[in-house]
Amino acid sequence: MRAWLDGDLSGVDPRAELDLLREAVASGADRGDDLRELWRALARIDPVACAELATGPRAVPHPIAVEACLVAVDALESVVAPSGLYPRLATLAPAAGPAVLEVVARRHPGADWVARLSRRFDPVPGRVHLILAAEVGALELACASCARAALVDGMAAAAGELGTLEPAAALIRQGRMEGAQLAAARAFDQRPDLPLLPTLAAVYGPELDPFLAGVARQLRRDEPRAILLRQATGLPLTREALAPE
Amino acid sequence: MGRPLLVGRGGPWPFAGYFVGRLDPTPRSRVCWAGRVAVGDDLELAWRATRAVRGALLRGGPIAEDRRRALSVFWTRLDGVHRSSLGSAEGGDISLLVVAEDAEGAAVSGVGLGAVHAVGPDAPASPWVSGNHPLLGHPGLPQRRPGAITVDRLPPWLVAVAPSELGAGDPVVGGRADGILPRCGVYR
Repeated sequence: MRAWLDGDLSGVDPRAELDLLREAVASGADRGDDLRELWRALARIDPVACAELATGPRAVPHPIAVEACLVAVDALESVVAPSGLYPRLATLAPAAGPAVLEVVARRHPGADWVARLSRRFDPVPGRVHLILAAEVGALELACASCARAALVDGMAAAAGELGTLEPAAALIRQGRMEGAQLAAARAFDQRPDLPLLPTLAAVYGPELDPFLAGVARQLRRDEPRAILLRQATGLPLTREALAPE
Repeated sequence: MGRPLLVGRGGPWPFAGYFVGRLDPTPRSRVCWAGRVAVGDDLELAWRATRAVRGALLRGGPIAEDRRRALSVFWTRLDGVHRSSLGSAEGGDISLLVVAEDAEGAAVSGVGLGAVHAVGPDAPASPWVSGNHPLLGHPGLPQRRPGAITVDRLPPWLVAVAPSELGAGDPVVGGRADGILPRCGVYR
């Protein structure tokens, strides 16, 4: 079985020897072995058997086994729909949930079912989803998905970390105005050079002042407050919100 | 108190280049407008264009109390805006609906409008003008001062649609205020 763990499955009929493969995965996981080569090899020679072993009724519910099988997601997705695959993996071994979420966020940033995984496995649901989606250039899709799921706190956190107004825009499109104000403020706190007024006006509408005043009240730092005050000509509510107490 | 509104565009940035404004010459008179400009430009350029329009309309201070005179002043002020500040189309894409009210009634004028609807709190929206009405026409800063309709009373909202937004059918016809107003950037 050592050879199997190294990815040498020569002469193996995976479907006929599924129980033996399962035993190799289970015992290897118990020992803390690296199972990735085994999953890669299995995915290469028989994706159906690979999916059966990873997600079937007798799949190994061990976080090491589940995390390792993520190297075979191309093969797994060719057999099992992603909307069923990843929740199943995360349910098998909840300790592997964060790793599953990381893969999902990069591969399916716009899928609505990702929000359910975020709620279970992200301490600030939505944050990881957006940050990883941004890495693969899919922030807009992910923001739309998170906004539909009302993951406001995570969106605001990601807006601050990434310094982007896209989460705020997505929340406005979903009519979640208070969350949008928070997300816009976190982004502008981080990056006061962002085109805050043009962006918010373009998605919220031309009567921006009451909304923008809500953003202003959420700002934490002096520099963005001063910059916004300079920009907010003709916006009395916003100026009032920024006035020193 | 008829308030002019302009329906937003489709897409992720429905109000890029949209502007509204208001002047209150006296407690019993006012001029309100809703329009858009530079809608094909990037967000920042479109925003700057809206600020240029705002600056031109407000810079002259108080406006005439009489509704007809107020509209005349309004168009004169708009004519004074630098074309180069109105985006890449230099104002050739502007749409604008303006309402002036005084103690006697209201006057309505506009440019670049494909449809104008009367909208109230309860009844479905209905066309306020139709056919080849002079209030309707192509976008762009007018070569001549647009005419005006004078009426005794206005519906609560006059909702205009730019010609380019009529491609897939008028988005306002038959709708109700609670569905129409958010499409104009009004959230109650």
